[in-house]
Amino acid sequence: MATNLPQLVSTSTPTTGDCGTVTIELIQELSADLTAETTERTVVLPPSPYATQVTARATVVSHAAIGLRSAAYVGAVRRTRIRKIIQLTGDLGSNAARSDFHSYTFPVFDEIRSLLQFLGDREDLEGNTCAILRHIRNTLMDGGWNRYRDPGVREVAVAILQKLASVETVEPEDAALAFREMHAAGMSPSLPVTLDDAPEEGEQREEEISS
Amino acid sequence: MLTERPNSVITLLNATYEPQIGYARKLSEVAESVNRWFKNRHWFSTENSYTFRDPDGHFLFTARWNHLFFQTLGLKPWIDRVEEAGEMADKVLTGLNVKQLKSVSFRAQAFVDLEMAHSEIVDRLYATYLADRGELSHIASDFTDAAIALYGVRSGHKFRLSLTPQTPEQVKTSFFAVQNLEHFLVDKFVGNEIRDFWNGIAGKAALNVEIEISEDDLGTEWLKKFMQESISVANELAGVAVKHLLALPVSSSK
Repeated sequence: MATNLPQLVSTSTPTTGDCGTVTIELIQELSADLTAETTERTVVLPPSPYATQVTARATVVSHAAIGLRSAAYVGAVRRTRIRKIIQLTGDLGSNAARSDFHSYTFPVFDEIRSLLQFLGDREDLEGNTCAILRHIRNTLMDGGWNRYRDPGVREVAVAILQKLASVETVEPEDAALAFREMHAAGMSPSLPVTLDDAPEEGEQREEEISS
Repeated sequence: MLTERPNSVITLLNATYEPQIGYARKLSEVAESVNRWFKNRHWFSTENSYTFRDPDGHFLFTARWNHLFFQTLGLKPWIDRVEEAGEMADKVLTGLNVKQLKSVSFRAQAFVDLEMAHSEIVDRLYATYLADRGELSHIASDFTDAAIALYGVRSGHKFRLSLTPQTPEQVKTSFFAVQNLEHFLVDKFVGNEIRDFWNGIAGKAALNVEIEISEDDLGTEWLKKFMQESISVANELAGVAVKHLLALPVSSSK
């Protein structure tokens, strides 16, 4: 048995039955990076006048690989959950005149955050989707939610989301176009920057140095 | 959708009818006529049935005293031969003096590789056709599998649509449980016809999509039309069903 195969999590000792039956159980757990490995076992059978049955069963335990999620699955979940965000965004219109409008935009923000959390595991597949969702999320931050009172702004957001809810893969051009459309609609897709005047630890202010 | 994956589809067209007086004599005469027309592809007979086949073309036809059926391994053999099959059915029904079919059905079974793990397909089935598993938590703490069957009418035809996520092992069990597979082998000792089909679906989880389009009490003059239409209805139905599972947009509903 090769000893340099960390994925081989369990083997059984060959068992010999009464009629020359040899059973070998191998359990192969796929590594998270799906590295291909070969496992081989050789059993020397003693000479026998009777028929000998050798059974070698290799079991692939695929939970680790499944945990990575397939591209088709992640795409399907993205489309399903984006539809919910579209509905929430579209529904904002009925509360656009309220003074506490920001509280109605929170579910949209929260749903985007939750979806980003899910897609974050497979950003290699859905990186462009994540970029667009972050841009939309940013437009709801730092008072940006106020712009969503405007039906035109909501329409822009919904149109961008509808694209995400209908395509199998989201391309880099889609992300670039979405950014331009949001910018043109007067939204702020860039992450709001918080300026912090407090000095970093160990850093002294200029006036302190000069004094 | 089925036409995009023709090599993972098994088809069966079945028509049943009331046996007519003198069917035993008529059936043998009909069989002779069909055999001549079908280039001597008679395969075997029993007391009340005659089976013809073209194993190279993955095509099987059986005429019995109370029903006839066509079976193909793959969708393309059926699409390519549906007109020929219509002629064969016509010869049998005319020869047996059958005017009315009790029922006719077209069944397509596809092993659709969605490039997903079994658990992912199950997850999508719950999310799109059933309910969020969280909403069902009062029933059970975990749901590991699911299967659904839908019945309805599309384009004027009754249908049954079943969607079953399958592990590679279940795909194997399901495929080898298909009846009459052995008759598609040119030579049962060395034939590769079934293995070639099997190799295309083996080792992968799949969504088993089974569609049956059916009609009751159909005049025999409408059989050819049904044979043609049922292919496109099944194809459309499979397409929208899988798109719905994948949350892809569906253009229209009928």
